[in-house]
Amino acid sequence: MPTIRLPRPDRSIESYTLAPPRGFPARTERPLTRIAFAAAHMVADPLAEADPWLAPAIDWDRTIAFREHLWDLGLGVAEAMDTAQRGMGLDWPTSLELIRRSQSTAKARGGVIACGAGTDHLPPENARGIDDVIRAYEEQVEAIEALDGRIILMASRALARGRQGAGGLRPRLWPHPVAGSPSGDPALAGRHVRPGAGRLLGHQRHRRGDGHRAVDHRRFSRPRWTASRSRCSTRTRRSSCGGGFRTPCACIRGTISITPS
Amino acid sequence: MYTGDDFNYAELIAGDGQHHSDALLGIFDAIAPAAASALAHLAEGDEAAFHDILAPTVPLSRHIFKAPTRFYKTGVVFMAYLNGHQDHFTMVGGQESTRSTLHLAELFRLADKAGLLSDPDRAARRMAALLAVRGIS
Repeated sequence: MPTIRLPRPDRSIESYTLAPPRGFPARTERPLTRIAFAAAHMVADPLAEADPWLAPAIDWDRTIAFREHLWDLGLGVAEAMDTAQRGMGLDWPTSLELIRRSQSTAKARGGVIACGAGTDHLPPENARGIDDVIRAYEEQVEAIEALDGRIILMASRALARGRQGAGGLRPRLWPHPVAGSPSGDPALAGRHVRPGAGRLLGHQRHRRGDGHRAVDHRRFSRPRWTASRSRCSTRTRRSSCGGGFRTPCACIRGTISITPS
Repeated sequence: MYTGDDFNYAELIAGDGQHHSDALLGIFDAIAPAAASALAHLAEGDEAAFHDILAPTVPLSRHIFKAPTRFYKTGVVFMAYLNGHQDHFTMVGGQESTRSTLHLAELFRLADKAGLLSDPDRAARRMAALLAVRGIS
């Protein structure tokens, strides 16, 4: 096995000999008993004539090839999430192009995929109230659904900012604990938003061998948020909204919620 | 319910016999072959093999996701570089610079201990190239 010189914290250099790899299979043949999504990264194009800090340059072929690798392994792809540098290099137009390409590939091979919808095209300082945030969510949800995409609702920097009372917005305008996953995003640090928590809306359906079935059904939505969307067809329950709302469940179909981390 | 907990996913996915989590994890990008193999063992009812595979990935995940957590993508992409999914260690937004040389060296050790460096010669060669650029040769 190869040996390599690696630095230690005490500034010394150790001679490190690698162990044999475990030789995990590159393909999973049998059905799994858990649904497992990997939030997939972007592959940059290192030869693009572009300023890396200013304009995303993507190697689309390698980016999609990595998703093929995940699907070969029997995993689902969580697309355009924070792992894809959403909000840290990847803007919404490029995210939508990623979703379009990934959706198309998934459809062609039957790969499982769900896509991140947020409000990152709305600068937080431009959000005047909850309606702006809802509208921004709706725009992204509709764009993804137009591509037959399932939705993973992401946290909103605009909502987090509003909920913290910044910019003169009154906290009562932001009554709901909201959702998403951007891990460790400083713009989401606040007492009302839990990084790593998908807690808005959640009625998810999955195709798992025997057709669609509801796996999870929890959380809530404000009726106006879902006014244009399908109501949950399986059952009605009262929400467990932290803000004290008690309203019949009305959900975006296929939305995925994630447990807090 | 999907766990998004990159620190405690193994036990949450395994469950307690009555409840379990499905998963939606950033770390599954970096450890996808191990995760899939572990899940296949779990599907066969071999929970011991599931934990045997995933247990050494947890220290790697905790390292990649350590604070400031938003820089975890750098570790994820570095893993993809080491394992040949891409031929360069550059990232959108220049994010390849967010983690220290010591951080990446420790990531390399932990990935090796988890059996995740699929081609050790390639991984060692690429790690050495990075270290050379950063003044260690």
